[in-house]
Parts: sequence; structure tokens; C-alpha cells
Amino acid sequence: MKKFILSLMMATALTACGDENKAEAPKKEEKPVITIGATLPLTGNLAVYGKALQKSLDLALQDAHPEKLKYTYKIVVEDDQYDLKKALINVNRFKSVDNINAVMSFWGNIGTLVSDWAEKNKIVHMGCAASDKVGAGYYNFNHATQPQSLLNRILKYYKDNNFKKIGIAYLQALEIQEFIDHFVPILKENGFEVVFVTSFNPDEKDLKMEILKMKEKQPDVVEVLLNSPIINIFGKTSKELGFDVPMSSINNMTDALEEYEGQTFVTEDSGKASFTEHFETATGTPQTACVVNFYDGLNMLINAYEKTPLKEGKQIPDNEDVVKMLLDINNNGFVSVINQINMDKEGNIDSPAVLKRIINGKPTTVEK
Amino acid sequence: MLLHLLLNTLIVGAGYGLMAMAFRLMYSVSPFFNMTLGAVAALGAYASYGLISLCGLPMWFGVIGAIAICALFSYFLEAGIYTPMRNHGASSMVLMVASLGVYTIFESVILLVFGPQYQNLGSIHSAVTVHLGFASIPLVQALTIVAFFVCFGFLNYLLHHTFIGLKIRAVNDSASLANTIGMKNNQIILLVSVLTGIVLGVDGVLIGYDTGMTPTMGFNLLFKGMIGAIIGGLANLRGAFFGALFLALAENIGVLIFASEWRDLIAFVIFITFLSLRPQGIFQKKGN
Amino acid sequence: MEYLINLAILFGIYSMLALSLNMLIGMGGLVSLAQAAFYGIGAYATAIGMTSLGFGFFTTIILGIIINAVIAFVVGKILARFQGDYYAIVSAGLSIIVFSILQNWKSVTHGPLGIFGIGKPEIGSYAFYSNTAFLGLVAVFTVALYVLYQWINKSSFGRVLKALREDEKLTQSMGYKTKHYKSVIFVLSAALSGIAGAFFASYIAFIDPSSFQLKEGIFLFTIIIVGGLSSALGSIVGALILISLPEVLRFIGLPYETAAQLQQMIYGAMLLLMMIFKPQGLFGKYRM
Repeated sequence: MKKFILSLMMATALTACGDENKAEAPKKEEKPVITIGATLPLTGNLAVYGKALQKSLDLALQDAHPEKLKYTYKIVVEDDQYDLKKALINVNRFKSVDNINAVMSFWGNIGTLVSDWAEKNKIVHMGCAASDKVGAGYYNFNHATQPQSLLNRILKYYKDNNFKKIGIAYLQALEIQEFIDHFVPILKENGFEVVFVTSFNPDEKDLKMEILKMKEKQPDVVEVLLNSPIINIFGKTSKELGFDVPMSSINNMTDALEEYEGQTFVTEDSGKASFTEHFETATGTPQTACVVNFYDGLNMLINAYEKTPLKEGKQIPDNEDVVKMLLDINNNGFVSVINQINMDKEGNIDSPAVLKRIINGKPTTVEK
Repeated sequence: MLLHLLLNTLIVGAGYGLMAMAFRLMYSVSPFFNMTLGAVAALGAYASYGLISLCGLPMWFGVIGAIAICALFSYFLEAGIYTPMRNHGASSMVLMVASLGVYTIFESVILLVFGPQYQNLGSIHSAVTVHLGFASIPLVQALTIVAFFVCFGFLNYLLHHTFIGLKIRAVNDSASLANTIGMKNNQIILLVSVLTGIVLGVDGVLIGYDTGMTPTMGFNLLFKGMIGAIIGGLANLRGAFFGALFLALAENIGVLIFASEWRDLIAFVIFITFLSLRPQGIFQKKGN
Repeated sequence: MEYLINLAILFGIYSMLALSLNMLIGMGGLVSLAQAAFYGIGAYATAIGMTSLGFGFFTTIILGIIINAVIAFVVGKILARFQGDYYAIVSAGLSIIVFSILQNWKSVTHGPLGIFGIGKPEIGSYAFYSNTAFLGLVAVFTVALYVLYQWINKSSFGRVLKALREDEKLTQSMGYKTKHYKSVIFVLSAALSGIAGAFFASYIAFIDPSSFQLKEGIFLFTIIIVGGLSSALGSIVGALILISLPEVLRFIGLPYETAAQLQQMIYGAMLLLMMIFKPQGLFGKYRM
């Protein structure tokens, strides 16, 4: 008990002193430090994604050749278990204790929370979410293939293959629900017949009855908007029940390569061919959602901080100026690992969607 | 569709039923809601994974090894934690909370050691199927049904036709009386914990090959099994057997008529309704 | 300083939750794991009230109290049929049911989309925008709840409650309608948790069902187990320990991946060790 109180006092003291320490002028040989915080789900349901993202950030920093940069970039990653209050504690700690200059977040729930906070605190925020709330505001940026691009590619895929009857299996989660609300009306407008829209809870294990019901509807293609582990179980159970229709997804089939061999999915363009290979070889982890966006996003931030001119008497650039530099994407010399990116005035960075098919356990870019 | 419904009820019910029977068995001699039963089952899946995929042992070796590990784990939990606590006068509520603590620790250890990702022991390509005319199911699902019946038969025989079974039932009927007569209660409880561990190990391994495993798999499985056992009256093994099947049937009908996202709600509403209306569950008879 | 203020606000909210739960479990002896449900309902009342209905914060608190009171009245009656650990298990089931409704009743709660843009409290023309001001408001309510707790504790109502906690039959035989007392404390506890929920919703400005699952109820339970059952001080101390634990762990300097699992292990260990060595909690006066 005493030890605990002692630690608590220590923690409080560190916080109180934190600001003073950082205010000391750095020694002449030391580069000024720019700290970037990332609140990620390192444990909990989405831990697979969070851990891959953490590795993506480490790799991005490594690849940016820190020794050649003007500043020292420090990355602080904290676990939020994809829980709102934990993420809020993290970002507040990032500001008070770690003195971050920029913050990164993953997906819409946390992303929206962080974006509100970042705007209030004038901290540059780079999120990755299929929700336009994340990029809203001056200091906020959202680096993700936006729903519209994904949608367009999916529609093209359906048309190229003469699919008429579409079935949708989706997960009860923020982004996906938003996407569905958008997707279903557009499908109908474009003359497709939506034969079922079935939602699932993340911890369901027995999907047989639902899949049998889906089988009866005889769709031409099923859009499987699920995450791991349920996406794995869905694929496996479908095979077992002889539900042999083409299945498509957005991004997440990379979690279930074995179960979806031969199937086609839409994903963000992961860049000049070799990014995936580079990532997987360097980290030993499969590339999952937002990995390339985080890699690119961090590089974008580093590039902006490096290029932004300093205000009189300051050691590191002002965030207000950094944002201007980020927005000036055509002139700031940034080179993306993604083939083509576009940034709008709001800071939403869109990258094209590509079609990939799982061939021999590897996602391979295809045209149809 | 009806045939599929019944078949699926059998498969899912079997999975719940192994847990339900294990729960009932353990509860009969150590009456508290033991959260670590879910951990033991999860260990079955993960131990198999560890032995077969990571250590490269041949399948049967790994499976039997995993079940043995589960039995040991169950034993040590009982011997090291619950029995001493019980002997010091801990109430069933205290034991339940303690088991919740142990389960939490277990889950985080699994997370630390194996990581959060989904694993499946089986491979999607080499799945052997059993053909039943109107449907074909993967071998593991057929085995689950078989295991369910075999476990029931075995435990039933054990409890009603052997001396050990008599002792177990005696402890269940009246722990204090059994103590007076001189039967060593603690030994019986430990024996039961080993048996329970075996049944749960089997359940875990089968699930590991069927719907796969994640570190959090134990909690949900425990709840389903517990609900099944309680629906069946929590008074005898037969109750657990049929209660689990009933739960699976209700869930499947619910999914068929409504939508799958209401599945958990249906399970718990049934559970609470049963408890409210018939506290004894379906099978009122005491004994065994 | 933002960091400490942020932690302090959460500490205040969780203190309120702990105090309200301790009234139920500590004073009343009713071990409920369903507190997260009422916490959530209160939060949603504020969220929907402020965003869709245009109410002010304090109005939504009253709205939340009314809704919680009605639901708690019904739920309390259902739970009252059960004793001891059954009560706990059924309450867990009810928590899952409420979560399922929050998640799936999309027309009202927006399901997993959650509700955004929840405003801050306003009194007249003053709005509690700054975190410091908000903290002040939370502190006022927390102190009020603390005082309320002590008042109930010392009142005759409280004495009867504690008597029925120890021996319900005896208390009944003395002429007290124990069902009535249990119902009142359940409803009161739920309503107060709803107030904490209102503050949570306004503070974070965005809520979704994931904050109100069974594991939150278990977390709240852990707080009072550690801090002490039937103790106002224990409720506060428990909240302090469990809210600041992750931060303290962080300062010790563990690598961030293992920190989270370690945190979970420590929660589990706390439950276990408390049950073994001090089942009434650090400052508690009631042993389950």
C-alpha cells in the first residue's frame, strides 16, 4: 500500500516536473526532439491490428533514416484497448507528460474522439478511418482509402463480372455501419438487387444457421465486411456448408488468407508494389488494416516537420505552420509509398482502391 | 432447413454440453460458480496448439498431451486455491470472485504467450467430412457429437455404477454427512477436478479444430455451458445434457426467425425466464 | 496538468459509481454485476437528451434518473427472486441483455455508431467548457454522493438494510418488509450510477455501447472488492487505486505491449488475493 502511494506520488511529481524538464535548452550536439504519440489497441479484440500498426510506425521511422533528419523523432505508443476513456487518458498523458507535437489514431471511434481533442489542443492529428469526422478541423488529417473510392471499385468489380444479386454480411462496428448506410442505397440506385444485409456480433462462433439462410437467397456475390476472428469462421463455415459463391471484402481478407483462397477483395493500394513485401519481411507480420496508411502518414508528418520553417527563436516548428506544410502536398516534396494520393482542403487523404485476389495464399493485384 | 436446424442443434449443443456436464459435475461436489472452467477448456485448445503447431508433435500425441495438461491444471487450481480457501471458510461467493480473478490472470497469460490472433488447429483444405445424406459436416463436428454422447455415457456409468461414483454423489448430497462417515471429501473433490479437466480438455481441443481459438474464448463458452446446466436444473448430469441441447435449439430457432445479433439476448432471456419460473430447471429430481 | 485533471475527472466518475454500487453490495448484500447497465442507460439518457431532444445537462440527469428508476424497479424485482451467487450470475446475464439492446436498438441508440457531439453542462449563461470547471462540478456531485452514502448508512433505513444483509429471515420476522428495502436500494443505486453516466457522456462527448459491457460491471465490482465493502472511504480508495494503477505501471517503465497484459494480471491478482486474505476489502466492513 505504501509502495503504491509512493509510486502515485512519484507519478504526480513527474507530471508536475515534466514541463520544466522539456523546457531546458538541449545541448548543442543534441537535435531537438519531436514527439509523436499513437494510441492503439495493443490488447483486446483489435490487438492484431494495433500491434501491426506499432510495427509499421517503427519501420517507417527506421526507413526515414533518422540520422539524416534535422530533428530526433520519438514515437510513443500506448494501448487503449480500443476503449474511449483509455484513449482519452492516453492523449491527455501524451500532452502533459510526453509533450507530443502530433498524435496518430486508428479507426473511427477513437479517431473522432482524438480529432476533437487534437483540435482543442492544437496538436496535429493523423488518423486512419473510414469516417469523415476524423479529418474534420484544421489540425486533423485522415489517411485512409475513403469509402467512396472503395465503393467505386467494388461497383466496377460487380459490373465487370455481371453480378446482379448482392448479399452483405457485416460486423456491428462504427466504420462498417457507416459504410453500410452509405453502400446499400448506392447499390440500389445502381440497379443491383440487395438480397440480404445481415449483421453479426464480434464474438459469435456458430454461424451455420445464418449462412444457410444466406444460401437460400442465392446471391451472386457476398460482401463480407467482417473482422478477425469472425471473418475466419465465416469463411470456414461457408466452405463446410457448401456456400460456394464469390466472396468479396474490404481490406480484411488479409486476416483470413487461408479461408478465402481465390476470393477477391478491395483494398487500399499498398503502393509501389513492394511495400507489402518490405513490411512483411521486415516485421514478420502480415499487412493488415491501415498499416500502409500509418507508414505513409508518419512519413508525411516527418517530411512536414523537416520542411516547415522555424519561427523566430523557436527550436521546433509551430504546429500551425506544420499543418500548412502538410496541406501543401504538391509542393512539399513528399513521396508516398502509395501510387497515387490526393489530399483535400480538409486534410482527408484519399488513395485509390485496388482489387486483389488471394492466389496461393498471397493477395495479388488483379484487374477484374 | 428443419433437418439442418436439428443437426446444428446437435453440434452446437454438444459443444455446450461438454462444458455443461463438466460444470454440473464440478458443481456437485464444489458448489460455486467456477469461472476457471472456461480457462481449462481454453487451455485445451491452446495446449494442443502449442504441442502440435509449435513443438511439432504428431496430432494424437499433442491432443492427449493437451487433455492431460488440462486435467493437471484443473487439479492444481482446486488443490492450490479453492480447496484451501474452502477449508478456511470461504463462502461460495468469495470462491466465485476468486475464480474470476484467476480467470483474468489466465486470459492475460494466454494473450502474452500466444498473442491475440485467431488460430485454428485444423486446416481448411484437409478437412475430412462426414456425409449424412442431406448434409455433410466436417469430421471434427461429428466427433464433437460423439464425444458428447460418450462423455455422458461414461460419466453416467461412473456416477451410478461404480463405488467412486457413489462417493461423489455422497459428497454432493451432503458434504458434512459424508465427512462424518469418514469419506475423504477433499480427495473426492480433487478426483472430480481431474475428471472435469479431462472433459473440458476434450471440449477445448474439439473447439480448437472447429471454430478455432482466441484468448477470450473461455468466458463465453463457460457461460453457455453454465446456462445449459442451469436450464437443466443443475441437479443431475441428465439435466446438463438436455439443458445444453435445449439452449442450442432455442438459439438456433431464434437465429432462424430473428437475426443473429440477438442470439446472446435470447440465450440470457431464456436463462432468466427458466430460473424465474422453475428454479429447479427442467429436471427437478435430486441425486446424481 | 491536463493529464491529472483528466484522471481526476475519471476518478470522480468512478468514485460515484463505486459509492452507488457499494450501497447495493456493501450495505444491502446484493451482489450485482449489472451496474454497467444503469451507468450506460444514464449516459445514453444524457446523450440522446442533449443531442436529439435539446435538453440541458441537468434536465437529462433527471431524465436518466427516471428511466433508470423504472428499469431498475423491474430488474430489481426479477433479481430479488434469487440468492447469493445466483443473484450475481443473473445480474451478469441482465448486464449482457442491456448491452445487447444498446448495441442493436439502432433507431434509438444508433448502435455501434454511438452518439456524437454531446454538450457540456450549463447553469444559466455559464457553460462548463474548461476541464477544470467540469472537474469542479464532478467533485461537487461526488462529495454529495459521499455524504448521501454516509447519511443512508447511519439512518434507520441503512440499519435495517444491513440487518437483512446478515440475516434476512430474522429481519423479516421482526416485521420489516425486506423485499421493499431491497427494491429501494436497488433503484437508488441504479439512479445514482446513472448520474455518473451522465457525467461520463458529457465529458467524453461521444459514447458507444462498448463502454457499458459486462466487463465494466466486473471492473466496478473489483473497485469495491479492493477498496472495501460497505465503506464509503473504501469506495473512494478502490476507485483511486484502480484508475491510477495503469498510470503507475507505466511510470515503472514496462514495455507498452506487456504493460496492458500485466495490468490485467494485476486486476485478476487483486481479486484473488483480496478473496484469500481480506475478503472484505481494504477498508471494508462486510464479508460476503
